Amino acid sequence: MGVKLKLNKMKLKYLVLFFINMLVTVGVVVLILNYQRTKIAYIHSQELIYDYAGTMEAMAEFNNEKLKWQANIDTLNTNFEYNVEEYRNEYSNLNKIQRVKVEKRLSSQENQLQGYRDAIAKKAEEQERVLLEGVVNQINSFVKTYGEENGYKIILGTNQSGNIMYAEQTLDITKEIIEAMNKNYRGE
Amino acid sequence: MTTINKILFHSFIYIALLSMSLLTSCSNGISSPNELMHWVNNPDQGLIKTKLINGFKLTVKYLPPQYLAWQDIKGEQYAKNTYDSILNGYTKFRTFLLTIAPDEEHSQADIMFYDVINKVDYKKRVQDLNFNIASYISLHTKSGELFPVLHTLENTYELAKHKSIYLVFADNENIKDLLTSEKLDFKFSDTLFDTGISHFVFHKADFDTVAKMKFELNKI
Repeated sequence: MGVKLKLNKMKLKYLVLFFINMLVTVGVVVLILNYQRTKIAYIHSQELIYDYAGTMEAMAEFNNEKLKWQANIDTLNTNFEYNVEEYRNEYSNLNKIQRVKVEKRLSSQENQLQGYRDAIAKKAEEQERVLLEGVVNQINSFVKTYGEENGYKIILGTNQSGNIMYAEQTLDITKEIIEAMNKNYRGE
Repeated sequence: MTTINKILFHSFIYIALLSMSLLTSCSNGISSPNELMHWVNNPDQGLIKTKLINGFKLTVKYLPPQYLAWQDIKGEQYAKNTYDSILNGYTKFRTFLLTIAPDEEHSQADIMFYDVINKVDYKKRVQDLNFNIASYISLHTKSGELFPVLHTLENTYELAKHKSIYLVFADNENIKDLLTSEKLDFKFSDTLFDTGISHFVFHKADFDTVAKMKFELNKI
């Protein structure tokens, strides 16, 4: 009788231990699964900007515009240089009053040319800013949507200043995000 | 009723229901302009494209000629040949509706006030959307780039937070493939809302599908 009671007590003890073990195992599994659900990734910000089709198109358009403006400046400059050369050739044939008159005209032309150059430089700067702002906004909006749709909790951006000291290569999603972003950009 | 009869009866009902649903799904099933637009508004049909950028929702929708012809004659009593004549006119062009709306998730503000800090800015915004918008938009066919021949801003009298612009494209002396190009790339080069350059590609096959749809004049 005493031996039987002892055996039952031992069985109960093992049963309790078994249940505790089970609970701990389930807890660990739940924790691991929860940890795996926290998706984290990083992207190379500069690579993303330079390989984005939107950046390439925006820069190509900007460069085309810049070439047109430069062509206008070149034409005006050639015209001004031609007038200066003509004045030099005619210098000895002109009297003092005529020289003052021509120099005044040339000075005015030079000022106008410089004013045009400055205006174009300002316009170019403004246009470049607007174009790049559009590109950056597109990238930011896309990465946000991509993160939400693919269940990422956080997507980090790395750059030259090195705000990420180390990350596993498998967390680098730069290539896949560029591919998805370019497909979206093409509007297909 | 015996068991075999019961099985036969149920089988008959099942086959009849299946046939009916198959017949319904095979036909175009468009019986009114509103139904047509409901169909167009389904992104799966490829006639409406959307992009979310910088807190804005940019939507480009193809407006079928049937719908535009209906808009012209709605509420009026016209003969069928009048409708056909108007419809024929619209089939020579491609019409799109560009809608710029706040992306409800991120912004609730009226798009007219984006980056506007004074009356001068607001006046410029109104001026740009009413008269200069065509300079930001083009349509790329296989052979080149077309610009809108007609554009008009839908007046919402400040009752809505979005703005819609109707844009009509037509062939010109150099580009003659507006209606035949397999792909049309609608390009919006935005400098007003900082959304950059956006492309919305449409396919001729999707235009052709909608072109085959007809609705009865008495239902218009």
